[in-house]
Formats: sequence, C-alpha cells, structure tokens
Amino acid sequence: MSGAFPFENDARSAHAARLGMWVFLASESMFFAALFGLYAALRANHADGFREGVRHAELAIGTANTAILLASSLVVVLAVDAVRHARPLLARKLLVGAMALGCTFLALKGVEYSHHFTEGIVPGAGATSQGEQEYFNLYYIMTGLHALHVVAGIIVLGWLARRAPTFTHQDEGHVPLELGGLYWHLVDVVWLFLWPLFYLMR
Amino acid sequence: MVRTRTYFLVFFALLALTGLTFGLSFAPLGALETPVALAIACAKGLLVALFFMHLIETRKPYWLFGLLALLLMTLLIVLMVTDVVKREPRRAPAGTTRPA
Repeated sequence: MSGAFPFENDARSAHAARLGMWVFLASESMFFAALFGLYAALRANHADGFREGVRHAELAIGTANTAILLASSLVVVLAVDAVRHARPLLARKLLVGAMALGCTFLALKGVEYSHHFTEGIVPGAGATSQGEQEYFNLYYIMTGLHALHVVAGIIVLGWLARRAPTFTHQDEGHVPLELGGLYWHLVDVVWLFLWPLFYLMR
Repeated sequence: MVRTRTYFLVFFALLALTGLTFGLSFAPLGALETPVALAIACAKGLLVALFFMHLIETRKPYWLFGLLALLLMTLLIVLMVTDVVKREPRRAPAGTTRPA
C-alpha cells in the first residue's frame, strides 16, 4: 500500500484533493449567492432606500479593506510560490503577514460597525426608511457572514504557517497550502462583489 | 509555471481595476452604473481565479465547478428578481375591514 492510499500515487491524491476543494468553493459561492439574490430582489423594489443606505456607508474604510484583502491574496500566493522555490520559512513569514492583514480587515470592520451603532443603526432598526433598513440589515448579515469566513481563513492560515516547514517544493508536496490558499482567495473574491454593492452604487 | 513577477503584475492590475471602479462610481452613468461595477468586479474575480487560484497553470478541469456555480447563481438571481419585481403590492381581499 502506498502512502497515497486509497489513490495509486501522490499525483492522483493531490488531484482529488484539489477537485474536492473546488467543489467546496462552489458550494460556499452558492451560500453567498442566495444573499446576493436577496440583495438584488430587495433593491429592485426599494432602489431609493438602498441608494440612501449606500451613501451612508463608510467609503474610505470599505475601500481600504478592499486593498487590504487584495494585498493579503497576493501575500498568500507568494507563500505558495516561496514553497515552490524551496523556501518554506519565507512562506511561513508570508502566511503570518497575510494573517495580520486579515486581522486589520476585521479591526476596520469593527470600527465601521461601531460607527453605525453609535448612530443608532443596528440590524432591524435605526434607518430612515424601509428600503434603507433593508439595506443595513443585508449589510450586517452579508458582511458579518463574510467576516466569519475571514476569521476561519485566519485560523487556517495560522495552521498552515505552523506546518510550513513540512511543505516541499514538488507539485504534490504542499497540497494543504494550495487548498488553504484557495479558500482565502474565495473570501477575497466575495468581498470584491460586496464592496461595489454596499459602498459604491449610489 | 507562473513566474513570481506575474503575481505582482496581477496584483497591480487588481489595484488599477479597483481604482477604476472607484472613479467610475462618481461618474453619471445612470442605468449603466450596476452593469459596469459588476463587470469590473467579474474581471477582478477572473484575474484572482486564473492566477492566484492557479487555474491558468493546469489543464485539469477545476474551472468547471466554478462555472457551474456561476451558472446556478445567475439562474437563482435572475429568477428571484424577475419574480419579485412583477409582484403587485399586497391588498386586503374585498369585503374585509382593517382592524382599528
């Protein structure tokens, strides 16, 4: 029995792992798709209220967070690249850097939420119209769910950073790192759609 | 195999597209505002998927699952929105009186 059992060899084992990860990412996308659909359906009937809500959004924080997540995705892919060049300790530092960027994102989100709370806008109350309230309800639900995914991603990156010295440069030598990276990139892509819908479309 | 330099180029392209979306959000595009913002977001997502998620490096069909999710997502959103916008506002049935 080879170490890759039940697969014949490491290449097939890696392929199965990547396939499984992509199926999982597709299912996570559907999770968010339901909420994006809800946004579209509610906005279609309350366009003015939603626009009012977007004007209330903290554009500077939202935009900074977009740049932060994009940078964190770069750092994660550079970590994979580092392992491919047989530099696992550099990868470890890069993964810790990505975690720091993720924590910065969450901190800024916390600041944003606290600003809204101070103004009295909470899930279910505080807005000046039904449409605007629906915008803010969706804002809390969707960015909150996204933030939970960021937390999970940071934990995964931390686990990968700990295991970094075990990753080798071969194609199949660092599959967990690749897969964890894929999850982080999905979290980034989801935000790439949250940002225009909640911060830009006035 | 993708060179390290390429990842930086993709990152700067992503930043440029972010700046473009930001700038265009102040332009008077009218009804085009939504499609333009979403199109640029799709372009950014595609760059992340192709390069950061390594799809461009392999001939294996991992992209198929992404495409499937995209198709199902489109179906879901289109059907939801076209249903909801065509609904009439709720009215009490004839003969009932509203509670005081």
